[in-house]
Amino acid sequence: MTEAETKVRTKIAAMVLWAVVLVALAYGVAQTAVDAAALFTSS
Amino acid sequence: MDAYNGERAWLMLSLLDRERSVAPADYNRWFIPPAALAVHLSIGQVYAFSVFRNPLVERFETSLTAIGVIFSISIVMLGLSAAFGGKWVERNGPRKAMFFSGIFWSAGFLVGALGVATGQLWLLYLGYGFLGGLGLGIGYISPVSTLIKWFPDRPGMATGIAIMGFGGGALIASPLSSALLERLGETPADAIAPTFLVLGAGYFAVMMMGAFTVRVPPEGWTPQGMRAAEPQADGTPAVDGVTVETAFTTRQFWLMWTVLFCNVTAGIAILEQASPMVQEFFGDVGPAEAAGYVGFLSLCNMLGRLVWSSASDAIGRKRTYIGYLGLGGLLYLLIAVAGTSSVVLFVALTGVILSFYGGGFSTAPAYLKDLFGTRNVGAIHGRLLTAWSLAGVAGPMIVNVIADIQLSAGRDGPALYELSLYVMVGVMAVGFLANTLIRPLPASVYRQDATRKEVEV
Repeated sequence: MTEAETKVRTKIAAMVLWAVVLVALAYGVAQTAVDAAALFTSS
Repeated sequence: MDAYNGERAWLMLSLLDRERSVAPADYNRWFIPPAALAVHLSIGQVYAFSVFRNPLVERFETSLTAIGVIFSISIVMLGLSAAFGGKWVERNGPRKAMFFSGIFWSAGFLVGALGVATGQLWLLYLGYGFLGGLGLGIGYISPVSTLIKWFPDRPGMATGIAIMGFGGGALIASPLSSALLERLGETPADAIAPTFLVLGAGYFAVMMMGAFTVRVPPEGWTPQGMRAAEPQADGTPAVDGVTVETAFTTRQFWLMWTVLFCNVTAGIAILEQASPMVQEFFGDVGPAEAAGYVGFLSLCNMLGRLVWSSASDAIGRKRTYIGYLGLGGLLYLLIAVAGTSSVVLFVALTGVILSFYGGGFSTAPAYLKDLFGTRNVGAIHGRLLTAWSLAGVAGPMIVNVIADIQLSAGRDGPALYELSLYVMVGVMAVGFLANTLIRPLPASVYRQDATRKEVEV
């Protein structure tokens, strides 16, 4: 594999991982925010 | 054939070597945070372990205490492996550390699943507790020290990103585990083993992606616009950090240890008692609202890790801790004096306190970097985390013991917690004092340490 190919693969892997962690975080924050809303809607 | 397979395994392991993970000089450092987050979001699941408590009690027909031991073992192992494995992590680099962290963490779930399936509780202690705890400690410190090395110009933001992931991991794992427990068996107790298997496999995949994406900067690398450290006056190379042994013997390390211990003791006391506390303070708050309140605190905890630690790059580490401990102490006092006057006030005050609690965790490694340099910050951070382990015992114990005494004296409602809140004001004051006593390490310590600056084997 050439150096250029390695760089492209590394870039793609990092961007995929960025997407994975951001989607996971968004899922967690959204679910928790829905739970937390119960406190504010009742008080 | 065996020799061929052996050679392949050796080649595979050599890919994990620190030398194999050195990035080229023009590497984009923004490719590193997702690798760190992948590990911290995975191991942060430990804070959502309570989701499994009731199903495990039902499955093993045992007490909450016997199930609680699983979590305690994993947190004790986190502290021990971070404290004693820090040098190994610095020596072998983040890729190998993250790889083994992933192996231990997922093996913990697999052995735990076996324990649930066969009805052997000790396998859960060994799996999730012991093996998982090893993965926690190694996985906690390696991404932090790696990001500090890539972002020496913004260490607070770097550590904030990584350690925010640990807080975020619980936010993801809690709803995800609940959903899996509902779908993978007739009852939650039946679904524990398959849920553990799914989580173990999922976390393994994500952590391996992190391990094989992470890189270390080349020797002497600095970000654009930041000057490399100057050689010393006598011509010897610049020293970019003291050894963990040297740091461990300094006043600065133990003052910093006290600061973290006090900040965590006070914060964890609220976090652990959040649900019963809000229900005792306000009679019209039920269990569903209390669960929402716990979720709100978790969000504040996670955001505080990123926001306050990033802000510390601009306002300075010492001033930031003055805020956490000084303002935090005043907020505890305000809750004790006027906490019952309004739910909104109570929620807002505790939310800010929990954001300071999270910020205290993520700003600590940046503070260590300022004091002791970059090179061995992971190992030094590992030793500092023993403060967390002890505070994790001390904080809840103080609140529980005081609440029991008040109960036996016939008190109820907010009176159960008022004295604890005043005690926490005192704890924060001790931390505040320790922080004000922290001074930069004298240059002579760096010079004396220069001959030992490599991580010792």
